[in-house]
Amino acid sequence: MAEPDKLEAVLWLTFTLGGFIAALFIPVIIVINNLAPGIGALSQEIVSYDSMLARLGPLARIFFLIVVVASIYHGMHRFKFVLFDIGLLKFKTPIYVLTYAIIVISAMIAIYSLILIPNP
Amino acid sequence: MDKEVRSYEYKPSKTWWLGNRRYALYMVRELSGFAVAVYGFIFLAQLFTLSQGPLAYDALLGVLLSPAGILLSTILLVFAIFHSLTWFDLTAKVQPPSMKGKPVPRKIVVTGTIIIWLFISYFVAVFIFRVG
Repeated sequence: MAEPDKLEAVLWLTFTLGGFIAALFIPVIIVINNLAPGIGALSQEIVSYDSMLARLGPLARIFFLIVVVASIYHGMHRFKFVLFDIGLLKFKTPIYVLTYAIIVISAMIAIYSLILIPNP
Repeated sequence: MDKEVRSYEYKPSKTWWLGNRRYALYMVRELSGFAVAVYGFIFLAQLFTLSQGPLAYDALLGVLLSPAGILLSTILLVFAIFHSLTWFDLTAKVQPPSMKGKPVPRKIVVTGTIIIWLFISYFVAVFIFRVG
């Protein structure tokens, strides 16, 4: 019997976890961080530079890092299969390389940014 | 003598998913995952500009809170909610919890997950974004 592909299993597990994290947190973040201040339901002060810094303690930084990376990972993983579904399976290798490169670069930018953001 | 082996190569049309409502809905569901990634990139840009100082952050915020930015946020929110609901429904199908050896009805699992989701959203709004 063929050995199970452990890397594939880890990628799918991360995908599932990413889906859950995105499902739980992305809608409320869009509402509070973008939509509500945009339409005037909340004061724009809530997303001002100083307010954002004030809420970015160590735990919030870790939380935002997880949410950003999980959402991008989950979405790109699914998008890869959408591309295959519309007939781009012949470009499987470049699509794999491109999607995972985007995920890794995004994660690095997120870590870099969260380290560099000044302390409140 | 070696026999020639010919394998069948399946080549679906690029628009196969438009021919059936269920297939189209499947594609919308998959694209809702991509919308979640798009918002991930936007939020990443916000974090990056925060690290670059108030000028860079305010410039991005101006775009995000403009009418075009609000329209984009609205579209992404619709897709994100669709992603959440379909994901909770999918999880209840794939891993149905059981109680006393009997599977819990899917409706109850999904409703329970949505209540927990709303509670978590409230928690994020109050304790992380400090609304109210």
